[in-house]
Amino acid sequence: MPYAFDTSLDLFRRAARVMPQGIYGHFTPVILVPGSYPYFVAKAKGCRFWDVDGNEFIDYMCAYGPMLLGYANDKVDDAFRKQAALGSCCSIATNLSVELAERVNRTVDGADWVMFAKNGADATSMAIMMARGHTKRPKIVLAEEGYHGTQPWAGTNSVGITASDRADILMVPWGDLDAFRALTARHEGQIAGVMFTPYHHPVFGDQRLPEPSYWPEMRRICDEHGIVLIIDDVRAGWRLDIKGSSHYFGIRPDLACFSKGMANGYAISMLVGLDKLRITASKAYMTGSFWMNAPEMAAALVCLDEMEALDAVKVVRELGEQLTKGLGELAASHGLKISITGPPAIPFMRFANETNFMRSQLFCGECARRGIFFHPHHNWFLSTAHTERDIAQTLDVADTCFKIVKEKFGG
Amino acid sequence: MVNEAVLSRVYLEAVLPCLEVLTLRDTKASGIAALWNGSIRFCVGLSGPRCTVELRGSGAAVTPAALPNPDVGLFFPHVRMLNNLFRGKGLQIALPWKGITRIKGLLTFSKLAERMQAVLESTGRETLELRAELMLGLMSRAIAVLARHDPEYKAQASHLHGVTEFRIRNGPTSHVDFSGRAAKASVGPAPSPDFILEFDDSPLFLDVADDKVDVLAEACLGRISLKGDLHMGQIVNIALDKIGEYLL
Repeated sequence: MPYAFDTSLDLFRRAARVMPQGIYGHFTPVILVPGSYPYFVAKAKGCRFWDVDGNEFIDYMCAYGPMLLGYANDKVDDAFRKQAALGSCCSIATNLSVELAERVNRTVDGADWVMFAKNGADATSMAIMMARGHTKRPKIVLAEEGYHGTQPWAGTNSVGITASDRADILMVPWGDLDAFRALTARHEGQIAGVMFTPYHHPVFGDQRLPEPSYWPEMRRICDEHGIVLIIDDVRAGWRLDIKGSSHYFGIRPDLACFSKGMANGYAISMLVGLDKLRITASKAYMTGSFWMNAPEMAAALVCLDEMEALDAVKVVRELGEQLTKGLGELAASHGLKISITGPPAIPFMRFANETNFMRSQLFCGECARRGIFFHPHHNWFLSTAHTERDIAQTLDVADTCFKIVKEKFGG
Repeated sequence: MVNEAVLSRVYLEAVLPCLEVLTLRDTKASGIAALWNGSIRFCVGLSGPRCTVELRGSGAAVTPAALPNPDVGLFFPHVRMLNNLFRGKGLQIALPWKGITRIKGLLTFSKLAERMQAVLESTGRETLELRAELMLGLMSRAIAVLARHDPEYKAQASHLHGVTEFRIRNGPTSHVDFSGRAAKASVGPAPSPDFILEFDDSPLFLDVADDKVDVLAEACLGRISLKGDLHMGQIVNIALDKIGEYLL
């Protein structure tokens, strides 16, 4: 019996009266399939959450990435709670900042120094300031369809943005070395930094892994032109390599940004950098009221330990392989063609014979009405809390939903 | 930012064509149109937009081109002068290069334009459905104009390939085709739309057009439906905001 979402809708009516959009940002149900998805969560544990109507879901969005060890992970949550009892936001820095920075320095490749903040956008904004400060140049290169937050410079928002906000932002297609070379030639001596994700993970589109020669050549061009190479590892970080996705792809960026899975759902982000940018970082004034909160740092320390102890990277990769293999076989058995791109731990699925996502919306909406939380337009995430049994249950539901797609669209 | 050259195209290619539906649906408008048979050509500058309005047998036909042998020809030396005419303020100089003696034709057109403005700006229930139909067509045509001519939006729309359809449930439909080299708007349903924006009813659509509605909230509540290529929807939504800037 497909789920109903009456309580979610009632709550949303209240929400819309007091909050613009009711639910805003990437949590908006508009980008899912309104009517087929829950709007509000009541509780979450492991790889599952329960909505306010009491419906249970196996979640393949993992809070859009942060939940890497499973919701309400006992060890991480205990660390957070214990530290919260000792103090959260205080008038001076916490000793845990030193412990965490040392831990990151030992774990993450290229983290000669570390600065903590709250969200990924804090880290990406800090990174472009560092690049500009270090090079004394104005321009920043970003990839088309890349995402680095909703700040005015990032180009994801159309409201309240002026041309001057993005006057020094240059765009190139991700993975297009020729375009990047041409840009560096055209703006010689003007480009401070280039910020790309380690592989291309746009919303509404296939993910793209780098060619073997891509990152070495990017590194070479940046070195040749004195451009700071920044990797935005906020989304992919911790699921490909405990040392960072840069290490996975064999690059050594000057700066790298992390957040999401870093503390398994607690709000913390960081910018890490090579020694050559340390003095620039030492001159910058950057802060936030909650950037030194101790409980999040305690959670991050335990989370890093757990990721290593469980070999989280291997677990999520293998689970992702099972899921994507199973989906591919099921789709084929129904005569449907799907495309799955990106790393298995962070897969993106769409129907190969469409670009308008009509089939994806039907498939994911029907899955959601049967307790499987997939996203029709965004990559999914695996966690160490998913099990083979969860994958099997998921594939059972997917079988039904592929059949519905076949009946509606014919192929 | 409002580009005056683009605005002149919005007036000629998106607003003026409303006369076609207006004279079909509104007895007052068709009564006015019946007063004169003839055509008026609008020309802006030496290389600006052209448009011909033909009034025949109580109906109107609007062609976004300079049709031959018009009965009246109006030349606007600068786009701002045409725009001022539509805005109803500022310097409104039109050089009647042909048919200056056909005062009746100009007066008829002027009355028809006043009727169109009255309907588009009305809040009464009796014109609500007509107003919605006019606005739906205007919206599609204006999006196509922006996609073809607005320098900023042209760049964004160049990434679009497919068809956006606008619907009022159990009511009128229009669509914009971004598949070709130049975006093209049409009334009626599209054979195979890639993005569909459907409004529950005309009052809701008009409230959206008047920028009185939290669209995303209404979409979550099911009164507005967004289906298909939501990325296309995001880009189209930027145009909808721009239309407001152009025409407010």
